[in-house]
Amino acid sequence: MKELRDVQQRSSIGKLAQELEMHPFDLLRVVVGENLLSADLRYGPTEASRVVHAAGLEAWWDVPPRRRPGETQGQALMQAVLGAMFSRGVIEPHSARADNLFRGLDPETRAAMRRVVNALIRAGVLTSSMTAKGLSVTIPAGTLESVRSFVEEGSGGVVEVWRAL
Amino acid sequence: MNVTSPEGAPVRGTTGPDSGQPPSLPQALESLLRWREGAEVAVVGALEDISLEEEDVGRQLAEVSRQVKALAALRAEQEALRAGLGREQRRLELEAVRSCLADERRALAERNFLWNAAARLRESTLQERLADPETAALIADWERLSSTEALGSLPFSYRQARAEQRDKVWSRLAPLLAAANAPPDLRDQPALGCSVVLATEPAEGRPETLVVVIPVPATISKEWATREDDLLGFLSWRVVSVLFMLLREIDALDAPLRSVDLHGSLALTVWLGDHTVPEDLQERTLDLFQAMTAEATELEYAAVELYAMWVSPGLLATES
Repeated sequence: MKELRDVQQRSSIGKLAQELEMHPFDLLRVVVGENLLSADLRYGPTEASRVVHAAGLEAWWDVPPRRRPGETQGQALMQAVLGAMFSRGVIEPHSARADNLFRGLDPETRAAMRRVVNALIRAGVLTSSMTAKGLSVTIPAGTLESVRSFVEEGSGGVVEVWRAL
Repeated sequence: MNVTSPEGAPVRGTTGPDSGQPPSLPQALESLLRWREGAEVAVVGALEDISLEEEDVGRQLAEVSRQVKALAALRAEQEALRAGLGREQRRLELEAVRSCLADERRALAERNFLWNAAARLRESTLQERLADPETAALIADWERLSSTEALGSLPFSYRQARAEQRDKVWSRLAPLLAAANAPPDLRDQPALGCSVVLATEPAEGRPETLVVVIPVPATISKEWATREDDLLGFLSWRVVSVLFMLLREIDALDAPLRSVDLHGSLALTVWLGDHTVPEDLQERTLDLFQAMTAEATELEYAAVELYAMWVSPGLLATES
């Protein structure tokens, strides 16, 4: 039985995308891929939960990562994002949606985090790949030890990337 | 012997031109001389005729040669024109696509204005109805009756009566909720045709990129985080959903999609270079569009008729 909250005004795919901090086109890729496309392009809370689950959406940040004394914003974000990926086990062969790395951040911090993630991808510390659910990222096996040293001890080859931020 | 005969060399025992007279050498020689002179005259005449004919044929040949050259030049001119026709047709096609998209973008913007006005009106009507004490009571009843808490311990007849009561409440609430979720109704407006233009790139060879242009502002994609719902948004989502349905069908759902501005309209490019593109890509796309338009109630209510059309490969080339 449908719940009233489901049948009252349902969110359009655009509004749902805003709520989930995800581009509507990326959201459409997921709902089509997972056979969750609704006939009227609207979603109630129950349907939206299914979408969140199917897409593997996670919000990693409640507050922006804190900057330690002497650290640039980029350095703080790099420390935080690699720590978050490492603790969540986002290590090859497992991967996470790329937008999980930004969800929950304010627009300015989100833009800074994008730059950091791009720098990490360029340096080969992270790898990205397109999947049927969208762009995903992971720590490749080849850089795992270096990332571990950086996250746990603040040392290793990854420090070079950190210094440049 | 006949002096005019080319074979008339003197032959012993034969008779000369003066028949009945015994041949004599001087006469024969004289006769031969005359024959020679006559033959010479005839040959010279023939040679002159031949020369005249040669000159004539030479003139004709020169004329034919001139004509051949002129024809070759004409052919080259026409072939260049033909090659140019292709370019010109392409230029005119592109011009037509740009112009039609711009016109449709303007017309859709006007329809969108009406759509927004109708949506606002519907929303205020809905809020009035929701604020109505009777409706509020109905919603409260429905929520109370929907609660399954401790229902299991109650007798079956009670649960049945409760379910019936709940259905009655629902039957009164349903039209209100249906109206809340129905798209703004502009069906009294004239039908507005709207083209979605598709092409593959590059112009020749294996298709590597699929380009889809929608007559909505290109900013729709960039401003997604702050945009309010409107007709243009729904239209874009419908087209993008078809695009992903197509990619799902051809096992290319992981193909990267990019939004770009193509002459002010939203263009979506899909990189298919890493996938096998089926030969019936166009037919499949058109089928999916047809199925989508049959389902898109909000477009029907907005009196917007969506047409998908393929244009020549490479015509919608986007700069990367």
